[in-house]
Amino acid sequence: MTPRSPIGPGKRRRNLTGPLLVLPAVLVMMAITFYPIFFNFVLAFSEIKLPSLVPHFNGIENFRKLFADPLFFISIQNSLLWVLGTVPSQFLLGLATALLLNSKVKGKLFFSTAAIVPWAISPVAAAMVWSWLYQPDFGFFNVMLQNLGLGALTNRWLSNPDTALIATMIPYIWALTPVATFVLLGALQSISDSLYDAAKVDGASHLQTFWYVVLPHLRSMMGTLIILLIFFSIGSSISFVYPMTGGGPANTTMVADLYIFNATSKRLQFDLGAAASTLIFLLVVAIAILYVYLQRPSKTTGK
Amino acid sequence: MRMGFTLGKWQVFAYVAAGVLSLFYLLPVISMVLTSLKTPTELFSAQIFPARPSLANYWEVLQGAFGHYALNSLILTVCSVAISTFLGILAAYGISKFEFRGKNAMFLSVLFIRLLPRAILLVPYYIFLSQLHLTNTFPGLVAVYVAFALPIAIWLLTGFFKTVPREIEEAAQIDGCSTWQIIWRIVVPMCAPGIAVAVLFVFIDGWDQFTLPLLLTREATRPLAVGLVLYRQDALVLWHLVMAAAVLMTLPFIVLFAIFQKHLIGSMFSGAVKE
Repeated sequence: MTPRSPIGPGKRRRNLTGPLLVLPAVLVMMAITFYPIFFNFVLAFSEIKLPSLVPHFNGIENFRKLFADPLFFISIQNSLLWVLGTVPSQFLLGLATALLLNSKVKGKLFFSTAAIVPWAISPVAAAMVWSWLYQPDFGFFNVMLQNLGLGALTNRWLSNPDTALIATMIPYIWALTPVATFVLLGALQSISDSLYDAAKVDGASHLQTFWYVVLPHLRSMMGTLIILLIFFSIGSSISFVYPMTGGGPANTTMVADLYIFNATSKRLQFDLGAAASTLIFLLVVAIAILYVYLQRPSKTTGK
Repeated sequence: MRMGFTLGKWQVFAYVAAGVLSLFYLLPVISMVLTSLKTPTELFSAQIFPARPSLANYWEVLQGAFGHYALNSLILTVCSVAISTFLGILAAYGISKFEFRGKNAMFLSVLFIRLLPRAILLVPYYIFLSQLHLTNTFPGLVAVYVAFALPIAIWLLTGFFKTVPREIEEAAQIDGCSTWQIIWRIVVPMCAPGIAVAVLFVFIDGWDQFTLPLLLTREATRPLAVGLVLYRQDALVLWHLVMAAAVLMTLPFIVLFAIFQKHLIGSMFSGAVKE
C-alpha cells in the first residue's frame, strides 16, 4: 500500500489510502446508480427510439403528454392518500408499541417478537396473506363477520372501489410499523430512569410525565423517522398494490410507482415513465430540503 | 436493564392494548401457517383449524417451480451480499478512518441513494439491460441488486467501524501491519457482530426484491418474490399452496433471526450505549 505518514493526533492521514479504499465502491455506484439516474433525467426531456440509445432532446414535450393523461393525476392523488393514510398510522402504532415495550409490562419477549414479525415477512408474501384474509367468500374477515352476526358488513374488500385503496394500505402499515416501533423504542430507552423518578417526586401524573419528559426526548428522532416513513411510502407502495389489485378496481389503487411501472413495462412509454419518475424524484428532493431546513439548529433552544 | 415507565392505574389498559396489538401483528402469520396445513376442501369450510394438519401442500409446492425460484433468489441474493459486503467493508473503513476531499459528499450520496424512490431506476434499467442483452441473466440482475445493497452495507458498516478504538489500529501500525491487514485481521473480526447485522439487512433487501426483478426477469432467473405473485394469475387461486410457499419463503428469516436473536434483541433492549 502507499506509504503512511507518521501517526499523529487525529485521523488525518494525507495519503491515497482513504480514497483508494472507497474507489471501487464509488465506481460501482457511479455505474449502476448515478449514471442511470442521470440518464433518466435526460430521457425525461428527450425521446428515444430503441435500439438506438441516442436520446433526442424534445423539451418538455414528455411532460405535456404526461399531464394530458388523466391516469397520471389519479395515480398522484392515490399516492398522496397513501402517504397521508399510512405514515401517521405507522407512527401511532409504532409509538404505542414502543411505549408498551418500554414499560413495566410483563411478557415483553412475546410482545417484542410479535412486534417484529411483520417486518420479517417479505412484502409480497404479506400482500398475498392479506389478500387471503380479504377473500370475499372464505377469507378470515368476512367469515368472522358472519360468525359474529355482522354479515351485513361483509365486503368484497379488494374488488370494491370504495374500500380497495384502504384495504391495500393496511398490509403496508402492518409490514412497516416495526420500523417505527424499534426506532422509537431506541429513543425511549435513552431516557434514564432518574428522569422518571424526578417527575414522580414532583408529583407528575403519568400523562404529564409523558408530555413533559418523554415527548421532548422523542422530538428530534420523530422528524427523521417521519421523513423516512414518507420516503418509504412513496417508493414501496407498488410491492403491495401489484400483487393485491394490480391497480384496480377502476384505478382506485393505481399509485404513482405502479403508474410508472406500467408505463415502462406494459406500454414501453419510456418518455412518460422518465418524466413521471423525475417529478416524483423532485418531490422527494423538495421534501428532503424542507426537512433539512426545519431541522436546522434553532437559536433559542439550541436543539 | 432499563425498566422504563411504571404503569400504575394504566395497567389494565396497557395489557389490553398489548393484547390487541399482538393480535394485529400475529393474525396474518397465524392464518398463513394454518392455511398452509389445510386441504383444498377445508379452505371452503370456514373452519379455523385444519382437521388433520398435513404437510402435503409443502411437498406439492416444492415439487413445482418453487425450488427453481428459491434457487434463483438464493443465487442473486448471496452474490449481491458478497459483492456489497466486500466493497462496503473497504469503503466503510475508508470513510470512518480517513479524511479526504469529497468524503462527506460521498457519504451523503450513499444516504441519498437509500432514500430514492425505486421508480427512478425503472426506465433506465429496462433500457440498459435490454440493449445489453442482460435482462433475465444473473450478472445483469446481480448488478441491479448490488445497486440497492451497496448503500445499505456502506451505511451500516461505517457506523460499526467507527466504534473501533484508534489505539488498536495504531498499535497494529507500529507492529508493521499494512492497512489491508488491519482491515481484514483486526477490524473485521472485532466488528463481526456488526458485519453480521449488515449482512442480514442486505440479505433481507435482496430476498425481498420485487419490482425490478418483476420488470427484468423471465422464467430463467425469476426470484421467489415474483414467483409467488404468479400463483395469482390463474382465475382460481390455490390459496393452500400460496400460503405454503409464503411460509417457505419466510424460513430463511426465521433461521437468521434464531441465529442472530441474541445480537438483535440484545441491542434493541440495551439502548444506544456501547462500551
